[in-house]
Amino acid sequence: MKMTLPQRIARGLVYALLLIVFCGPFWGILATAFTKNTVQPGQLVLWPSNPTFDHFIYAWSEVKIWIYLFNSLFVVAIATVLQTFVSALAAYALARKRFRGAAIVSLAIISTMMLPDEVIAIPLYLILHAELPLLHTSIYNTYAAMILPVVGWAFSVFLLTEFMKAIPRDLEDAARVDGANELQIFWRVVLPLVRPALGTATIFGFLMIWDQYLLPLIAVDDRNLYTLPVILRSLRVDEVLQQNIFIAVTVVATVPCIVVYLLLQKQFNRGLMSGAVKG
Amino acid sequence: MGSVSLHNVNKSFKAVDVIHDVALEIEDGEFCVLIGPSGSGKSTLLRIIAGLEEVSSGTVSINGKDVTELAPKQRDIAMVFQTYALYPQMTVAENMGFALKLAGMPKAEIAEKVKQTARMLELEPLLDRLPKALSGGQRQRVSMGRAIVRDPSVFLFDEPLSNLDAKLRVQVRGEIADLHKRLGTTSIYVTHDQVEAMTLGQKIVVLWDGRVEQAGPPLTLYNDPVNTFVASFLGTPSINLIEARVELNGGEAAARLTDGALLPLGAAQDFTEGQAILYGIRPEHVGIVAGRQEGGIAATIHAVENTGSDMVILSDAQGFRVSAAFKEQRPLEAGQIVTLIPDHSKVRVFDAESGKRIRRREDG
Repeated sequence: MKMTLPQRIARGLVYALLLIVFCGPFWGILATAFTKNTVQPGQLVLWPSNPTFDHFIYAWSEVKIWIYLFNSLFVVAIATVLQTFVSALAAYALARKRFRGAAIVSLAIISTMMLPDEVIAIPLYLILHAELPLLHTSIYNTYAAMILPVVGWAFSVFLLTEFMKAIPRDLEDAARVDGANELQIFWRVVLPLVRPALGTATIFGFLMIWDQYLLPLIAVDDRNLYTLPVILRSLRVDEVLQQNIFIAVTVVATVPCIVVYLLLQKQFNRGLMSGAVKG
Repeated sequence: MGSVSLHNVNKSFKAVDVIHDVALEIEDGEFCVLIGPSGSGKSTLLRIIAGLEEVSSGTVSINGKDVTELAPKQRDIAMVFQTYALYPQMTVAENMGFALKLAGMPKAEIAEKVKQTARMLELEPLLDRLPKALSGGQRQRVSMGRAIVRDPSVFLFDEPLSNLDAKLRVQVRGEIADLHKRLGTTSIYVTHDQVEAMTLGQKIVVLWDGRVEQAGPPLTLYNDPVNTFVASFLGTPSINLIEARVELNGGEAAARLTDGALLPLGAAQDFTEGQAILYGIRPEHVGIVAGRQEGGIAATIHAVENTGSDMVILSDAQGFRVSAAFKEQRPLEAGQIVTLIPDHSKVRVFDAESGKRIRRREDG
């Protein structure tokens, strides 16, 4: 149906409003980060006056933001790869294998989604401090302490399980007749077919790990191992640090998320759409 | 090439028995069709032969070797699935060469074999396409190509034509028959379509409720069924099975139908007086004359089905319905009163209670 002029104007206004609501805050921090003039805490500018890179240079050389950026990128890269791999294996078992207690295992995994991070913070802290058998040391204050707890993620397992359930069993049977073993079926037949879902799981996983604040806070106390969210919090309460510099650090913390989303955008959209159709 | 033997094969899914004591011999190079209604266990039996289902008891042998405990890849079989089961992310060539790749064959050899098979099936122009870019018939040919390229001892077909339209089904059916003639590989073919079974099979195995009801050449099963199930499962329109009682008169036996008609059965020695039987006659063995006549079944035509090449008359007698089929066109119409005259030499008699065939001397 063709829209009338007032309808088109109304639609344009709604879109403009949504754009302001969603992009306005981001534009605000971007403009503030590039503004030479000092701003007060809680204050944002709409247009950068005397645009400058000084705050970024300061954040890089004095705050040493690169240490925390590296820590964040290292943790998120290793953890996301491991998380996606483990989730895919778990999902394959839950979706395709018949074993005693499968329903209970599935329920147990999904029920972990109902536990807020704060609830498991203390048990997790104790586990991270516990001495490992044979090694006689704990993983506390290491990258492993920030990586291992997020390797198993129920959402990712759940998403991939639902996708894998939709793959026709005949494909696996055909592969079996063709001479494939279980690992070859998983790797060459099943995984390529759930690529859109893997893309979605990777993006969600990346964002979840990137945003981790509580876990790095309880997993490490060495400042050199801090990730961006932890250092942001620490800079936030630093009364000496200029607000523009703090905001420049915030911008740096946002960039990787945008890059990853842009890189995997196609997979992400396909994954979400396929999920919707398959119910 | 290879022979296939099943010895006392049983299969249960938890408490449900789906295959009962099946014993079957399929000769080297034979085209064997497993046919039966839905739930008769034909696909399960095929999957047992493929190694995709384990037997609960019994043994499966291919080429004289017991393969009961072996994985599918160790059985030297190839399978064509109802859903084609082509790997969507692989091209036609990759689909066809997947098994060879897994077997560790050199790339050049795989490419050559795939090309050779593709040429045989006229798939060469499609080798670089993905399955989603193919029609149903092309997909089915790729699926067959994937099986042929491996040069297995036995081909297994699981209702390969069910997803095709009627015209394509006839075409691909012909292609399967040609391939079998050319390759001579033992083939086991599952279908519920009796036309496919009759036209393709050198041996037909009729299954019902997980049991082999009868096995043999198509025409033997058609002309010489062992029970009412086999008799009525094969043939379109279905055989007429009319309730009757035996009357003996001297050395001759006759069937008294519920409408009072008396039809000759043959020698009295094969029957007992008052025996409840089912008088079976195939529609093409029923003659028809206009009006009332002695020695036949009086009926009124209920419907005339004319397909151009065949004419089927559905008529109502007193208490039962009889169909008759002719190759030639006849001036008959609904509502007309006729007499149906069965060809007595073609009558098949069954026990009314057990459904088992009662053999007459003249049946041979």
